[in-house]
This record gives sequence, structure tokens and C-alpha cells, in this order.
Amino acid sequence: MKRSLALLSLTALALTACQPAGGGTIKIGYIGPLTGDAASYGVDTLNGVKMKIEEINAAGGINGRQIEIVAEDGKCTGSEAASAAQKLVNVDKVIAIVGGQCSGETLAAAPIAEEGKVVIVSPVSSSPDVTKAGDYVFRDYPSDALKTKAMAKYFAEEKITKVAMISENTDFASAFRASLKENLPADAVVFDEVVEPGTKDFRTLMTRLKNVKFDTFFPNAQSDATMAAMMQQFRDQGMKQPAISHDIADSVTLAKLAPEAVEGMWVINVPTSGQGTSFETDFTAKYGAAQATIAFAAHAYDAAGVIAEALKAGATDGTAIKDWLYNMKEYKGVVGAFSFDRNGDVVGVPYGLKQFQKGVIRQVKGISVD
Amino acid sequence: MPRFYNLPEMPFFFHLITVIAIALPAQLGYTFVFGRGKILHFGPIGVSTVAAYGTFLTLNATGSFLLGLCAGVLMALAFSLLFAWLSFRLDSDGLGIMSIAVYLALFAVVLNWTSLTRGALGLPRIPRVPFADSAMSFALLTTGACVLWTLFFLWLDRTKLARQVSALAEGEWHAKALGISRAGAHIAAFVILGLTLASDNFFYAQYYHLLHPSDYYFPAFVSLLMITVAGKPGSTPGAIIATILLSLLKEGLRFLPFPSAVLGPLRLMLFGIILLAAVWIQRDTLFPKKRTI
Repeated sequence: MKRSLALLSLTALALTACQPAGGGTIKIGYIGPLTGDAASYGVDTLNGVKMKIEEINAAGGINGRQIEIVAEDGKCTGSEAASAAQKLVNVDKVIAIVGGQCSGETLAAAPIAEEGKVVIVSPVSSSPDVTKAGDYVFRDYPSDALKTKAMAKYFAEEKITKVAMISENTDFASAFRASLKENLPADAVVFDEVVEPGTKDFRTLMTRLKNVKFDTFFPNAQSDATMAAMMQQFRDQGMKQPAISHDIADSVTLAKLAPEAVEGMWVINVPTSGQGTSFETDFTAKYGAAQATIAFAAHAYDAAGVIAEALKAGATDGTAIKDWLYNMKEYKGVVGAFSFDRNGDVVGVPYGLKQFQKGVIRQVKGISVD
Repeated sequence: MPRFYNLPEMPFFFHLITVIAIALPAQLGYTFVFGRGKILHFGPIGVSTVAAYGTFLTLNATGSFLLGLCAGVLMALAFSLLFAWLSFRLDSDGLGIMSIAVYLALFAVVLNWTSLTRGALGLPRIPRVPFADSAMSFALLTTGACVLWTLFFLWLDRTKLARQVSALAEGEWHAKALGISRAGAHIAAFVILGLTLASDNFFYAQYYHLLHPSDYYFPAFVSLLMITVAGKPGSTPGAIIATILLSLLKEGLRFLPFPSAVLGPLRLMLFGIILLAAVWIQRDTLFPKKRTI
């Protein structure tokens, strides 16, 4: 027992007492869910960052210096992301961080980055809370507050007046539900149920829903698996109304999990940036097909891109990068031309109406939000 | 590519110290209840949940840390007394099941009373106490609290209460014959655990500036349980060593030079295997052995 304890002590202390030495490279951190339910977002965004950095390094780096990525698993939770941020900011001494991906990760990492004066650019976090997360926090993915406005606008244009919604009780889905209800007329949501995270059995709710008059079904889930179960059981009950959803439905995995149920389903999200372009070709050649959506990889690629631009422009520390990003007129990336507002929120990324057509998600038209 | 290593910067040490200092008191409290008392109390995360929300909802409403702390302590005490009451009305396995049910009920309230708790969104931008806003001062504050708790538990181990709790675990009827009150000992044990949970949760959300329900899912309890077992159930020094080493190990595994593609999964698998090994070594100490003459 004592020997085991001694061995464990030595291992723990040795591992913790170590830190990677920097050398002549510029270090950029990454925080995202590399394990757990949200790992598919993490893998796509990490690969997006890696792709951008490899391209920069192959072209000679920045002012002759190569860039090194230090990736940490945030597990889509605040405490893990905070630990990861502590290591990146205080041990690895990264100059900037791409991440977190889940909003909880970004919110927990933000104060640590703020204290260490390290810029965070999140490629996927969409919670409205991120807007006020701090001066050093940016994102090139729009807030849900804006996306629900786009959705409400679409409902008004299509004369959809009665919406049935089932929401998973998670941070993303709850924020989306609250924000959508704010943007719709008071009596628009005629069926509004909330289920525990990870629920897969919706048969009772679907039976009740069958007796409600509604124009469209809004499955508001946090993961592919839950979204697939909602759609499958919705169609199993014989309901023919159209279904529409958000980011989570914008996933090729959904077409594999419930192909018949999601056929014809509508999605309102940022455009599937990179789809069908050389970016997707190059990405697929290097890392295989995106696990969630190529758009996540594209947003991460551009998040690394804006940081690199700031460095090329001569920014040498977090404060200089922050100032450069606030003053950036326009960055032309894979997701389009964008800049940041005074809160660090992205400006210029539009929305698109998409549809599952024969197992593939295709953009039908763009939706602008004033 | 091989890497060279040197000593980490101070702020990361402060982080490690803070993480351990925040976790340790509750670990010691649970070691006392579950490890020493063999009380199958599976609801401490429920107490943590109400203590944390009590603290920070009050803080947000009043702006007073003192009132927030008082509210958290009161909530923790109220639900600790509920668990204590259940413990002397139910058999050990019955308490185990009931405590999980109570935890789930408390968690469901927190998650679904969105107008009060913001539900799954959690409470962002939690401020720190004004005199401990920096990493170093917060580490000092939590370490101070942790040292006081540790000294208290080392003292508690030598008290009559600890002997009573041990005696009740070994043979309730024998203990009763010696005049030991199960109700009194259990109330004291649950209250002590509740106070450590209130203390931990007063610091936890402040440190991360975020109170999020995902930190109170059931796996958080599994970690508490595993560390208690790894440190040898009922042993205060064992719980201290296990908490320190496993916390260091968990953070230390981040430094293994794996490629980023396998870093996350491999780290979790390694930690799981090491934890399993530690628990396996202590498997015989889980429940008291029958004394023979």
C-alpha cells in the first residue's frame, strides 16, 4: 500500500511539476470538448484550427516564427474549461486561445483569460451570456439572441403562427427557447414542454401533441441523438406538419440517425460555410469528413485566422491583439467577411434557411437580420 | 517531437492549491459520514446544490457576501437535518436509495425553477469576495479555510463523537446498549458534512465566476465517493492524501505530451484506470470486518 501511494505521489507530482518549454514558437491555445457528448464539435473545431496553423507554418510562420497549438479538453463543462484555461494562460503562456466551444466553457475560461490578458476567440459559443463575458472575449459565431430574431422573421414571412416546441433542459436549448419566445408573439407557442437532458422517450408528449393544433414543430435539443429521437417519434405518430430547428439539426449525423424522419426538415443556422468549397476538400483530405458540420471547422479556422492576422499586424501581446480585433475593419474568411462589435460579438455573418433533401443538408435561401 | 520541461509559473500553483483547498473540506466531511460512519448517504451533491444556489441567489439579490454565506449555510443545515432524519428512520440501503431520490428532487427544482435559478443556463459573472479577487489572495483564502477544516477534522477524529459514529457503524445494537444515541451522532455527522459542503460551495462558484448546474450532476458525487474509498474509508489523513494526489494527478495528466487528437480520451482513460486501481487496493476497507473472539 505504501509503495502504491509513493508511486502515485511521485507520478502526480512529476506530472504537475512539468510544463512545456516554449522555445521560439508562438503558442496559441485551444479549449473544446475532446471527450463526451459534444466531442464531435470539439474534433471539428480543433481540426479547423490545426488546418489554419499548418497552412501558416507551411508559408513560413509569422515573422519567421512557427505557431504551436496547445490543445486542452474542456469536456463542455465550466470547471474543466477553467482548469484548461489556467494551464494555457499561466503555464503554457499562450498568446491567445481559440475556444471554448460550449458556452459554459467560454464563460468559465473568460475571467481567467481576462485576468491574464489573453484573448479568447470562440468559434461556436452562441449563448447570449457570452456577449458580456469580458473585454478579451470574442466570437465569430453569432449569438442566439440574433438567431432567434432570424427565426421569428422567417415564421412571420411564412405565416407560421402556432409553434409546438419540445426543449431539452440544457444551457443551449434553454437559452434558445427563452430567446425565441421573446421574439415571437405571446400566443405563438401553443405547446411548450421541457424534458430532462438526454431524454430519448417522447412518446407521451407526442401523443399529447397530436391533439394540439400547430403549424410547425420545433425540436429544441442539445445533441444529435436527442434531436433524432424527437424527430423519429414525431413522425412515428403520423404527424405531417413541417419541422424546423437550429444549429443542432445542422448536422450530417442526424441524417444517419433518423434519415426518413428528418427528410424535409428545415434548419435555420449560419450558412454551412465551407461546404462544397476547396476548404471542405482540403479539410476532408486531411482529417476526413467533419463529424458534426464543416461550418464548425470553418468558424474555428477563421477564429485562428483573425488571431494570426493580429500577430502579422505586429500585435505582440493579448492587449494588442484585443485592440487590433476591436479595430479590425473586415476579415475575409471561409465564413464570409466579418468584424467584431464593441462586445466582441461577430458582425456580418448571415443566416440561411436549409433543408434535409435526400439525406443532404442544402441551403435554400439566405435570411438577413437587421 | 520531444519537449523540455521546467517549473510551472506561480499562478498555476495557486490554481492547484485552490482546487485542492476547495475540494478537501467536503471530502473530509464525507469521509467522516460515509467512511467512518458507513452511512450510505448518496445525497451530498443535493446539499451542495441548494447551498450554492442559496448563497449566490442571495448574493445577487442583496449584494452581501455575508448574507449569501448565511443563506447557503442555512440551506445546507436544513437539508442535512432532513438527510439525518431520514438516516435514523431508514435502513442503510433504504437511506442510500432515498438520498438519491432527494438529490434528484432537489436538482430537478434547481434545473426547472428557471425564473429563480435560470435553470440550465446557470448564474454567470459570480463575483469574488472583494479582498480576494486575485489568484494568490483567493488561494490564500481557500487554503486558510481548508487548514481550519483540516485541523477540525484531525481534532474530531479523537473525540467521543468520532468513536460513537465508529461504534454505530460496527454494530448499532451493541452501540445502543452502551448508551450511544444513533440520532444524536447522525445529526452531528450530517450537520458537520453540511457545513463543509456550504463552505466548499461558497468558494467554488466564486473561483470559476460561474454557478452551473452541470457541476452538480451525479458524477460529481461519484468522484467524492471514489476519493473517499481511495483514501481508505474513515481515515482523515488518507482522505487528505487521496484528495491532494488525485487532484494533482488529474491536472498533471494535462502535461503528458500526447498528440491533441488523443489527448482528451487518453487522459480520462488513464485517470479512470488509476482511480480504479486506488479503489481496488482499498476494497477490503469499504465495510467494517466483523470482530471475532
